[in-house]
Amino acid sequence: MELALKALAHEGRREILALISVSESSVNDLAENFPDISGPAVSQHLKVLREAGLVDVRQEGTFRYYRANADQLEELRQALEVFWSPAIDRLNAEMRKDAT
Amino acid sequence: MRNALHAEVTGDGEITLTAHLVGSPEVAWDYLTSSEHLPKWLGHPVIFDLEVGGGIEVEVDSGDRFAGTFVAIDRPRSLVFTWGWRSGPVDIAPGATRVEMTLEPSGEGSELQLVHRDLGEWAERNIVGWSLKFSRLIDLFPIADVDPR
Repeated sequence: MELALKALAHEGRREILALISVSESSVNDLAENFPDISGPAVSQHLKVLREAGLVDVRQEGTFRYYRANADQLEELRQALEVFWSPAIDRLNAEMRKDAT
Repeated sequence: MRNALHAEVTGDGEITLTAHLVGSPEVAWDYLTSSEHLPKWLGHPVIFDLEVGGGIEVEVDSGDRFAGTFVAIDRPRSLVFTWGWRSGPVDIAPGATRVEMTLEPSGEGSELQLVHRDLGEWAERNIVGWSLKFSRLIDLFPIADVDPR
């Protein structure tokens, strides 16, 4: 979870993940879609996303295709929803109580 | 690139999200309103009385429930309801804010827009919440015919 959050702390990686979560893509596809990010930088971002478990890779001949790991994304969504709902306020209140 | 999901603060306590869905407004409407599809992305509909003045209460993953009342229903174009948290401790009571969802035909699919008003300091938190929900909704639609460019 911590690796996933670190991986998502970068806007470029969030955009790459958003794209490959709707469409499996090669490095070339991604480089075309993100002209502001260099090819080597795209590869580096994909490596970080893979190490965080957010992205899977599929080899086809000499090409590699990247797609989002749906199970890992779902786990992340459920964890992040806590920060949206009052659950996080209750947790914070309990922590303050424990601290005193 | 094809922007599947976009979310931003668009005013004082107001946020706007747009999502492209690979389905007609009629199909998308079912995902917004049927008890079969709602649990797959939004949460468990404890109350979902789809008529003007009817209640809406949905339990999300954390076990918390948001609640409100339907204000306007125009199938399959728009759905308006009030919104707040049933459970505490927060100062955003059921019905205190307003959610407007609209569906427009867009290419082969639809564009879903959600405007949430009167959020005050809750704007940023609700961008997180609705973005998570919308990303799940987008995933429910087939992607085979999506051109990544």
